[in-house]
Amino acid sequence: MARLRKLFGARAPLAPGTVLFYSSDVHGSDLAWRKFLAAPRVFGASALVMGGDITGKALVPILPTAEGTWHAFQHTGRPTVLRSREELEKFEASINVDGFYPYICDEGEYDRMAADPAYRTQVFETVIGARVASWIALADERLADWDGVAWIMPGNDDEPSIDPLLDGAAIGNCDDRVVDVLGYPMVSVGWANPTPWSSPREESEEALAARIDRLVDGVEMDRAIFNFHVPPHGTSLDVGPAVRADLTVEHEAGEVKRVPIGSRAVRAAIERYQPLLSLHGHVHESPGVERIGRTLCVNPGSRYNQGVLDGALITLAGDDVRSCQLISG
Amino acid sequence: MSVENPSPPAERGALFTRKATGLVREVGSRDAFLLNLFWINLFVGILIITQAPAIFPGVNMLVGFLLATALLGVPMLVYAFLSAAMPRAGGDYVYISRVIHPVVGFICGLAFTIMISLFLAIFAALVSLQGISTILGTLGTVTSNETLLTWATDVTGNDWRFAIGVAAILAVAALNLFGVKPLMIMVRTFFVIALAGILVGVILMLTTSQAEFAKDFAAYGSVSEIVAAAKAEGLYDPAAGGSFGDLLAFLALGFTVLAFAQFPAYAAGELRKPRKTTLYAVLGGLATAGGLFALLAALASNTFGDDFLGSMTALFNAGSESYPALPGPFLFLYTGLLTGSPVLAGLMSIGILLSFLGAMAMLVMVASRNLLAYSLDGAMPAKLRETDPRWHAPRYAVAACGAIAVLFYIPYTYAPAEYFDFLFSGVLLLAIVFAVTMLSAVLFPMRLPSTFEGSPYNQRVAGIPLITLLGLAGLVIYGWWVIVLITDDRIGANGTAGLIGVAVVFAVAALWYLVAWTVNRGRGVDLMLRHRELPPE
Repeated sequence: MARLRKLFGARAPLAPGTVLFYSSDVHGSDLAWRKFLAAPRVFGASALVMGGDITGKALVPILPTAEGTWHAFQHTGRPTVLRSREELEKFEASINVDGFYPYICDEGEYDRMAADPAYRTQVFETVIGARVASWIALADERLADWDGVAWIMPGNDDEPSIDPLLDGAAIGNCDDRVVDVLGYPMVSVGWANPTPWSSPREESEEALAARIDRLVDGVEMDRAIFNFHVPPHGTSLDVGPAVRADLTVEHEAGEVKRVPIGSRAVRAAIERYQPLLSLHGHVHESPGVERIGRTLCVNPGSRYNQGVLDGALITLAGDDVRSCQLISG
Repeated sequence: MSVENPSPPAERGALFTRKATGLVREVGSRDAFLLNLFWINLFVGILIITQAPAIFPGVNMLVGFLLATALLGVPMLVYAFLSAAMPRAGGDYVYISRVIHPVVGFICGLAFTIMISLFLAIFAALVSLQGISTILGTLGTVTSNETLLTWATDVTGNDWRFAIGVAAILAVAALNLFGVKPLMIMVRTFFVIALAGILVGVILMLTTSQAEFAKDFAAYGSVSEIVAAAKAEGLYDPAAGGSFGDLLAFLALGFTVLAFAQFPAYAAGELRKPRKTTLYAVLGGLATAGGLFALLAALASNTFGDDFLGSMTALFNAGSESYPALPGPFLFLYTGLLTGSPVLAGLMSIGILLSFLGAMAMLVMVASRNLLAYSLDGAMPAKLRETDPRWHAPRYAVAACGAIAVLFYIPYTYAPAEYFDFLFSGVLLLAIVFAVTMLSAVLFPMRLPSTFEGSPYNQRVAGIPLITLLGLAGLVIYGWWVIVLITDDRIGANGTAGLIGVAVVFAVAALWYLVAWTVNRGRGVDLMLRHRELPPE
């Protein structure tokens, strides 16, 4: 039995430890967030960590018509026609699952958003802020009777305007800080190395390295957790599609070309500091678990727009990772 | 936020985006279609065209392939819908695990993977038996070279067959170690060569009448005497009309080569759901494959005659002395006889063999990716999920697939067995797995309501989810396929050894899961949680 356990990467049974549930990249999906909050109840988790990229990417305008219907614009071409309030609510709910923001407006406001970038930005900030605030309120409500710890962090795709909204009674913003996870110090960085999209929180590898070095100074690494949104470069956790400057995906030999897109600074930090555990998101298509020296690195991937919450259920015992299981719920 | 961020729509009537990673332009239908096309096993299709007239005398193969294509459109639609709802999900294993139960999903997935490895062993045997032997035999016949004809016989001996087969397995496994790019380059190149060879064959058959073929064949024997001999020996009846029941049974063969068009192409894009891309890719691949085989079958019947095709195969399979001094029956042997050119004859035969090797390489890719997925889920040793840092290939998973195939190949080479029976018994296992996936589609809207409502194919007909209705129809079609494979002795899938083999494979998969579950439980990990749906409320 012991040999079988070793074959499967297992260890001998130990006393129950700290059960941490990690997820990332829910990108505004209301459904994914609600599932995340169910983790303590379903898995018995005593710690929750949401690792960044929590806001959505698109706003879906819905225009009322004179006939009492609504036209919702998702793609170029024909709009989706919603003939009743019931259809409208169902449509808004499905948009929420995708992580997009349904926005009811008239033609005048639509045209203003199309023509005025500043106004468009303002509308985005409003709808994003409203959803983030509702999420934190929901977390406070759902986790009120739970005695664990919950942390949330913005990622590279999240605008700075949401930062003040992330602290609630039951959950807190851990970005750019060292926080406690039931006796395990967790260092969190939501910033990423440069991407083709010039997202809000990107910086050079050198700047990212300096940020990490500043944060880890003085942290005991035996039980440290790195909560870095971007995964380490050149691992099974950071292989994503190669994207051209015009944002089309490169293909070669009929298949999507996949390249490592993680951060070299993050990799160097893991190699140098060797924390107990390293949690990552950012690359949705590259779920995996891999060791860099002593450190167990995890990226659960993301399929938020399919109604799935991808996460990792990790049990910590002393200065050891007792188990790590990828979850798709 | 910067002034350039967010972006206005390209034209009125679209949504607004902001600058966020992952918003890529959707992959074209053409790329997705081409990828699905590479899954077509040309070799097996042509083998079926060669063998079917003997198995089902009088059956119209053109109608058979077209009917098979039309019927398979339903389950292929189901796969397209499931793929659109759960892209990057991991195919049958994940669909079944998430919808029905993780245990059922794993058993079906691992059984499927084991059977693929067995197919690798069987195909390895065919490389020498039907591949190299046919090439040497065809070239030897066309050029009247006795040495080549001798070699064509020699390579069918056990030791040569073993050496060639192992070399083929190791070669296709090794190719998978260097990542997807070189593999796909090879697959595409081989596929193009094979298509060129097929085109040559099509042109030859189009420009040759039955009478002209009979004259070309006269150097080796008389067409009419071969048909008469087969009839006299009770091996083939020219008067057999081919009943509708026989046509339906032929469909089971057609499904064997066409039912693998469902491997979905990657469809990027979080902005635009991959609604049409996967649909076009899967259905386009199926239609192209079905049309191609239908065309080849029709031309074969027209040029060589069903009676000749059936008689030759029947005589060879029975080991009759009436079989002419030629290599084993194969469509491209006959087309090679239509041309006196060794180059064209070689192109046709070599092209098919290369496409066969390409198909074997794709099987290794599927099987190794499955093992990687099981390892990520904790049901297989952790070593199997390790990938090469340079090539990103799951090297240990690939090596495991190759090793399993070689292990299967040893008894397969030296133990007396009718390999076609085992091949089709394996198809029976795959048909069962595909049928379970259809059941998953039926239950999908009820079991994963939020995923269903968020998918691009959440339409209803009279209040019933469309995917449920299609899944039901697919379940009937695949269920019928399973029944035919079990009950029709002519196909050879219901031999005792074969059926026992199918049961053993499922049992091994179940046992493996039990062991994995027990081992993981010992360290506090419950495998059943892997796809546990989290309640949003």
